[in-house]
This record gives sequence, structure tokens and C-alpha cells, in this order.
Amino acid sequence: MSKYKLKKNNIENFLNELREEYSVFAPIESDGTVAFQKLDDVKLPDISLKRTDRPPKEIFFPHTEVILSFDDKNAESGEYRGKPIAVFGLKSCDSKSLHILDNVFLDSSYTDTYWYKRRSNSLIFTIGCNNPLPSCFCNWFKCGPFDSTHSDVAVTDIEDSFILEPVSEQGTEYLAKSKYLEKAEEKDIKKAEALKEKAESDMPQPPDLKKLKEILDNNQNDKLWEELAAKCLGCGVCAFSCPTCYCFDIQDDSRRNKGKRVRIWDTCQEPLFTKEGSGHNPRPSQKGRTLQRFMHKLSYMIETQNNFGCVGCGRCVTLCPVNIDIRDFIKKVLQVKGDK
Amino acid sequence: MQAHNSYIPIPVRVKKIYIESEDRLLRTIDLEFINPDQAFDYKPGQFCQLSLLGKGEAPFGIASSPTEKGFLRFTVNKIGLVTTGLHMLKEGDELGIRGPLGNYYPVEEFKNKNVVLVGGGFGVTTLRSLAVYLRDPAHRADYGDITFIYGARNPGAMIYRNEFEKWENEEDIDMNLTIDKPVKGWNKKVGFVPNVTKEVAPGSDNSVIMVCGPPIMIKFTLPVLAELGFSKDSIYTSLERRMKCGIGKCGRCNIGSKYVCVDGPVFSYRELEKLNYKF
Repeated sequence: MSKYKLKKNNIENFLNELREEYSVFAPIESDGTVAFQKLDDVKLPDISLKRTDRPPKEIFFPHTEVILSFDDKNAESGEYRGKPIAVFGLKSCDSKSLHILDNVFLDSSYTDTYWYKRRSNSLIFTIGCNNPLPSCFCNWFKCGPFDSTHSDVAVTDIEDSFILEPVSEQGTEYLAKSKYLEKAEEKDIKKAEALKEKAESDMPQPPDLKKLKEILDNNQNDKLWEELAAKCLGCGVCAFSCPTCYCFDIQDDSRRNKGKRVRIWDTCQEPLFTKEGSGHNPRPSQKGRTLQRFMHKLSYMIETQNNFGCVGCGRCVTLCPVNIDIRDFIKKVLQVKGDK
Repeated sequence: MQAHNSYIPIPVRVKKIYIESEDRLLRTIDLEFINPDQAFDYKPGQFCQLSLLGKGEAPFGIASSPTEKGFLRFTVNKIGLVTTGLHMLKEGDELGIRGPLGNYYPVEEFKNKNVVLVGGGFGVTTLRSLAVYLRDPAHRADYGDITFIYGARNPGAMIYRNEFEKWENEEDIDMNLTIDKPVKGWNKKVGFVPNVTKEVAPGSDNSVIMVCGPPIMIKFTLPVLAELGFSKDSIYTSLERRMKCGIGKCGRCNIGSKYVCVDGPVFSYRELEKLNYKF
């Protein structure tokens, strides 16, 4: 498949062209926080190529979303009705996270209309990580800094230009018609390949996770869980920053006879999450809640979708106020059992 | 692939209201579809989300049987915002419903078997649905003996009492109503559900048993069933969990890798054991 080159001084034109067909999101830094933002202005802000602080799920699964607006007479769905969405600058871990969430929201029994409406016909540009961060561990989960499996276009930053390689049919079609691309030269392609190799070899070798699920499944009362939970504040920052955590709450907000039914991100780390009307709470302790989050990622999701639910983006590692590091936990689990 | 939007409630109207318990905290409402084209079919054991715009939604087991046409029955314990709102509804008022949700009692697998129903408190709702279904003239011949054990704290807390007392006189079902402590004027059984089950349950040969009620009742009933020889595959229960979406997305009703809302609420004891579930 042919590769293209996009000169960086053309990025604004390229994204503006993309905006004719798509609603375009890209990582923008504002006030020290990098997050995916919708590009609205003709004059585009600088695109940041850092890992975003906020997870990309919010593009397709907003933190707060109206699912129903109602008054005395009518109720209307708040589902997305805008242009298809294009995202420029997702990292490999993040585009994989969208695939994991597709498996949740678009599973065979029920389609989540709100996710589906934003996600269908979306165009994903995944950019390779030239310099993976110390907190990055995507290569633990059959992914890598340049993995483009769950993308439409793979992008490599070669300083003065981007190299664009179509991955999906939709990506191929789009790139073929863009006015701002030129054919990539051999030396550019070589440069991109070298960056890929370097990034891949820069990342530490991952541990063997083949036995992880089995060990976890058989050791739910282990002391390791207690140690982990004793440290945890239950603040939920790991879940809110996680690109694959999808738990939500549904709340009604109304005044007089007008109102909205909204869904809001929620977290299993919150004691009220499972508390029932009767007062009974099946997960009354932090141990149960910590176990739930880690088991969901490292065991349950293997059963439900044959994937680890963690993509190794490292956001929780960076943001946890008490320095809980899921990598350390996994290593401990593998270690302790290995000694037995 | 885009199917209908499962979050949008279907409009229904309150057809009839019954006060169930002496303390008036349990109330049964029969609902009818405003647009009959939107009526759905269901199986005993399934549940629905009842929806009050401006207040929210809550899940309830369907207490009516699919063989009873023209209404859907739910029994509501007044305990929070939504359930209080449901208690305030009058006949003719409109609300929303989402469903039917979840799995159901595997009535096809029960064919040619004796069926024992054990209920406690107001966990008996979907057992009423199942009993009416099994006793329907179209189905009754497919099943063996039907034994029903239902316990409540006192006569005033016993739901569907008039109907269950009528069933005591029916030939095709063995009804056993019990209360926890003796009360003047109560001439039926007295005692906790596990003990009564031990006394009246038929043998486990070719039998299946549903146990629905407070976890503590189930916990003490299970050893009795083991004693009677029921295998873990022949014991079923229906679980309750806090839920929001009801369609396996919102993430709060899971037990291990299973969601009570889509993989349940009906589980065999064998399945629960695999999930490390403890009553």
C-alpha cells in the first residue's frame, strides 16, 4: 500500500480539509492539560503529540451525555446527530481502547445507541510514539508504540513531516482524495521505520502474562489484594483517566415539568456504586472494589472479549495519588505464585 | 447493525393498583401499553426497568405471567426516590417501561419434571409469574407436581395473599404458606422457610427447585436442599443487584465476569458456585 507524506506546514490545511467531511478531534494542550478537543476554528491551535491527560473515550462517550430530554408531552433521545467523527493523533494504546469499548457497547445482545451514533464511520489516525514514556507498557498486551491494528490511518512523525499509511479501506479512500498529501519518498519511509524500531526496542521487555488470569482467578483472598486495597484511597482517578473504563450512572435532572436524563461516568471505586435500595452493599469494602477493578481488566474481560482490559497507556500509573502501579501489582502476582 | 434504542422507555399506563402489605409499603401495580403495537412478550423470571421521567428508573421482576394477557404486574417496595414515585401513581397515570430484560427460568428444561418454588418476603414476585405460567391449561400437562412454599414475617407482610389462599384449594398445586412466628387467627404453617421446605418438599428425584428471597433465607435453605438430594444443577435462584442500564453496559451488577442484568437474573446454584458467589 502506498504511503503518503504530509508536510507539517500543511497540517492546518489537511485538518481543515478533513473538517469538511468530519467533525475532527485532536489533542490540544490548554492550561497544562492535554485533551482531545473538537477543532472548530479555521485557525487551528497547535496539535500536541503528547499522550493526552484525559482519555480519548470522552470523544465517543462524553463524561456527561443527555440520553433523553423531556417535558410534559414528549421525550426525545439525545443521540448524536452530527457529522462522522475523525480523530487525529491517537496513540496505539488509545486506538486499541476504542476497539475494547466497541466490544462492550456494540456487543451482539444490545447496541448502545449513543456510542454507536458517534463511533460509526469514524476515521482514526493513530500516531506512532517516537518516545514512549516511562509509564508506558502497551507492549505487555500484544500492542506496541507503533501498532496500528485498530486504526484507519497510521501516522509517523518524522520531524518536518508526517508519514501517513492507510490501514483500513476507509482510510485508503480518504487519503487518496486529500489535496495536501504527496507520495512518501524512500528515505522518508526508512526514517519512519527506524523511529518505529527504536521506539519498540526502547521499551523494556514485558513479563510473560500467560498465567496471570489463572493465578488471579485462584487467589481472590490473597494478601496482595489486602495490601493493595490498604493503600488505595478509592478516589477513582484510575477509572476516570482509564481509556477502557466505561462504567456509568444514569440520573434524571428536572425542574417543574422539563428535564433531562443524563449518563455520567461513574466508577466501581465508589462505595455507593453497588449500594442497593435496601441498604445492602455487595462490595462494602475497598478490598472488594479494588479487586473488582483489577479483576475486570485482567481476568473478566478475557472471558467476555478475549482481551486484557488494560491497554498499558500508563495514565493511572502517572495519576494515582498514592502511587499504585498496576505493573508492580502484576509482577508481584506473577512472582509470589512462581515461588510457591 | 443499529437496532432500536434500548434506553428509551415505552409508554405504559397504570391499570390497577393493589395495596399488598399491612404497612402499605408494598404495592402492586398492573400496567397496560398505551400503544398496543409496542407490547412485548416475555418469559417468567425476566424483569423490566420502570421509568419515571424526572425521577429515574429502577428494576423490578415481572410478577405477571406471559399467559395472562392485557397487563404487566409489578410489586414495588417503597424505599427510595423512584419507588416512592411509583407509589404515588394513580390509576390512569402514565409512566415508562424498558424490557423485557435478562434471562428467565428455563421452563423448557423443566418439562416432565416436578417443580418446587420456594419464596420468602417479596422475593416471591417472579415465582408467582412462574407458577401461573406452569398452571396455565396450555402448559400444566407438561409438568409434574408443583409445590409452592412461601414464607413471610407475618400475615400482613404476605403478598398476593388472597390469590395464594385460593390456590390452597386447587388440586394441581401444593400451596404451603408460612409465617415466622405464631399469630392469633393464623391456622396455617408457622416456621422459617428452610424448615418448612424440609417438611413439605418432595424428593429431589426428577425435580427442580427455585429459591427466591432474602440472601439469609437462601443461605439456610441450601443445606436443606443438599440433604434432600437436590443437585447443584437443579437449584435455581434469581439475584438482585443495583442496576442502571439493564443491558450489560453500565458495569455495576456484575458477579465475576457475568452481569446479573443480561446473564441473569436467574442462575443455577452450580453457576453461582463457579462465580465464587456467596449468600
